[in-house]
Amino acid sequence: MIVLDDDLFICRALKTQLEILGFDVVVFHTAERLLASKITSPNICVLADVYLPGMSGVELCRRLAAEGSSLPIILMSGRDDDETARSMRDAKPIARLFKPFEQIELLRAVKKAIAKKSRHAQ
Amino acid sequence: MTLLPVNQVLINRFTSLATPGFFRYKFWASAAGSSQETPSSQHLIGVQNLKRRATSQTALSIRNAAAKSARGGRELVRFASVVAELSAAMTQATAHTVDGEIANWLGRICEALDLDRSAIYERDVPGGPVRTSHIWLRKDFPPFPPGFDPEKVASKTTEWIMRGNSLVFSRISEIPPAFEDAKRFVERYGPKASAIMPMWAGNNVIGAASFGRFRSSREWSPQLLEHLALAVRIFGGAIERKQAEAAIRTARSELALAQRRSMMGELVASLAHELNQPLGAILSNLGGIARLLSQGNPEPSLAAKALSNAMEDTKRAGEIVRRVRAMFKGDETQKIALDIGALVSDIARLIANEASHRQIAIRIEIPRSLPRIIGDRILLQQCVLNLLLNAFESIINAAPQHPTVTIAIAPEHLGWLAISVRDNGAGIHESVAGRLFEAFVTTKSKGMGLGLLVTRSIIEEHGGKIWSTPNPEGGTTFTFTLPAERKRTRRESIKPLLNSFPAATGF
Repeated sequence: MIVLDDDLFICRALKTQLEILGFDVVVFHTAERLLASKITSPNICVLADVYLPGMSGVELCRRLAAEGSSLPIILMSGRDDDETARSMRDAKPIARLFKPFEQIELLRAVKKAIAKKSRHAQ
Repeated sequence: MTLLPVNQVLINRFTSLATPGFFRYKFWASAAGSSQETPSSQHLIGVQNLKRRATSQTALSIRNAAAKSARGGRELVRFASVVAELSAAMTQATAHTVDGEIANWLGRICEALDLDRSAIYERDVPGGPVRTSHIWLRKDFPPFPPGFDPEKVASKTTEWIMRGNSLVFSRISEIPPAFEDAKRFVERYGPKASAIMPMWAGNNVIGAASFGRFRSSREWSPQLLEHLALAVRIFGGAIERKQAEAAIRTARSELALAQRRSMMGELVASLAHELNQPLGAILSNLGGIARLLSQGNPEPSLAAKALSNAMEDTKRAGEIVRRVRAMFKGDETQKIALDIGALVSDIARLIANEASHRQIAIRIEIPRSLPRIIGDRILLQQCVLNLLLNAFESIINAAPQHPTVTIAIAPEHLGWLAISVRDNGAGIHESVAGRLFEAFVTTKSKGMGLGLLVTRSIIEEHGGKIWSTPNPEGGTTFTFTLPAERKRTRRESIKPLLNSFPAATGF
């Protein structure tokens, strides 16, 4: 699992939570770093924040889709204004989460990502 | 110079009319009319009436006076020089030192006239309550009784004084029945001789002053009373100046608060988001713990980690609430030694969400070691925040390739610190460049145009300057300066700001 958020507290919390759920977690703070790292393929999905310094989560979605990447993206945001919600929807992520979200919502989103990944693998 | 005893009550011009039975009516009727008179003539009329009465009616007193005149003359000369010094000292007094100076000079006056207690009473607003504001006591002499309120213990007398009249007595027995309230008070607590006079500032009575002797009665010559009245007038001028400055300060801080609240209002969405982050983190951590517990806590160390995370997140949420609440409060300004670097980083953190929402990068350049500055944390945060929000606005209008705001603090230079906020936005149009720091001058679609006005007023109140310069590559840099805290061991003088920063010549 990849967690992408510029907020250190959020990263730490998601990492701990996902580890408790039994995932291995890698954390990035910018989309550019994530793209440069080239560790995308074996991961189940990216849990990415919308608002990031530099490339946004929405742009990352588009970029990966254009490259034909199989890596599903779950977009999350602390804002739920219309503009943010629309741009998240338009980016067509596998799931959208609005912070603060409960574990059950996170699990549901991760399940969707796993399902897509396995479909892709077949 | 003739020296006349004033061994009877001096009630300005009404003294000669004060025949029993007739007195009360005349007294109040005249007092009501007297408030229209100019202050100096009132006092002088009182003394002149007294002079006439003394010469025509009390020959004995004049003989007594002659015997005392040599001593009284010396006292008068000495006192005149005290008043001259007082006048010089009061013109130098600032709003911060004036109260201390007044208390000190009340003491000097009492020493010069061999008095035991002196006090100033201020009326802060016209028609408002009169309160004891300054007092000087000879060692071991009694202060006012607890809860002393001139308007309660002697309301008629206080009203009389506040209408611009004086009450002077050399011994308690001389206080006439009309001043029964004052008489009752001094019989119980008061001095054996006293001069109570209005405190004038311009043509208004803004308070009163009393000078009392407890050890014995004393005579008050008209010349001495004139000098005393002059001293009180000097106090009045200083206090009026202090009150005017306080009123300006209040107005300024109210404006700053209003502007701060409106600015924070614009940031509400960002602040809510800022608070959402730790709340989200808390929920994640607690979710993890709940899961572990439901499975019989197979990994206690992981649960402990999640728990300690959640506690830190909670602290962070509290910290955000505290910061935001502080910005909304309108407390008295409080100047303390501050780390301006930490203050700038703090604000950058507060606004980080707003910046990332608008895809603006914030760069912070702060030298490793900086001297501290003396200032009000909230007001200076307000300044930095104002400049940052302006920079954001300017960037949004221009939509540059790499929207960046740089906050930089230059190393100390000749006792000054310069803090700059640089954007690569639209720049400032010539039409407003010269009027940027005026009220209601704005380039924004929303907003009152008060931000820079308030910012400048705050910076100047801290002894600094603020100016703007266009960047060669586009955008604007706002720079403000603040004096570095002077360490006690360092004695070098601090040069004027304008020599240190060439760009400051615009103001």
